[in-house]
Amino acid sequence: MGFAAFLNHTFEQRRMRNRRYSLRAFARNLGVDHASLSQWMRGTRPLSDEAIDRLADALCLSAVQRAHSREFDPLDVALVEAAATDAPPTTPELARRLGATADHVNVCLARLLRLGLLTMNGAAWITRTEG
Amino acid sequence: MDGAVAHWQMITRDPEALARFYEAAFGWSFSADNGLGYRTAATGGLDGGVWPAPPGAPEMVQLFIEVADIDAALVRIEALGGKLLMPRQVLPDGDVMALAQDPLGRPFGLMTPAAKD
Repeated sequence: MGFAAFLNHTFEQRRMRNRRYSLRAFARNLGVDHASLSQWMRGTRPLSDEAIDRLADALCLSAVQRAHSREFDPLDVALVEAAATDAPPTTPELARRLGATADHVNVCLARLLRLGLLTMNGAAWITRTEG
Repeated sequence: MDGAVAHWQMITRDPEALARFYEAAFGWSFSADNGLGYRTAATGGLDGGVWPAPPGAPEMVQLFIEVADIDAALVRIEALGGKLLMPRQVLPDGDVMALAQDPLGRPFGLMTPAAKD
């Protein structure tokens, strides 16, 4: 969870677009050395606020993305994707589908609502509020 | 009634254990049979609920204050030194809620119950 998970997610996204994208290329793009990046991503070296700010700058994150990256949970991505559908599933349904607990889904949901990335909209349940 | 405490919510890292504790100690009845899987607590007095805490968050109880107009209440709260924590949301059952913080840093909820037919 947190910024290390966000780095892993961002790297995976880039690898999905280009299977040859390497950790070394990611480090080069972020302007950091490969060894440090690897340790941050594996969680074996703590990320200082200064390092997070530098990496967030290199990733050109918006203010909302920056706040989200510090609390990032991979389940957030599934929730935002679910919200993009016409009839988002309920929390218990999502939990079953994702192999998570309803409590875990709800912790993520509350985070995304607080950050303004999702909005609860009654019958439509959740809708995406930022692209 | 505008300004009345209408609901409370315990924020906890272990919602299931907390619900079992209050059920056994006081006979409260919990149900999570709703779209959010939200554990509502029927106490025989003021009803409330239990919501999971994010990692590192403190154990706490939040009061939910009923208002007719959440947006107007948020303007008053900010003018008085409080701040908005979570913008207005329409829950699956039609209730409207938002989270705010008082000037001393205590989070609390605002709610407008869904209109009943």
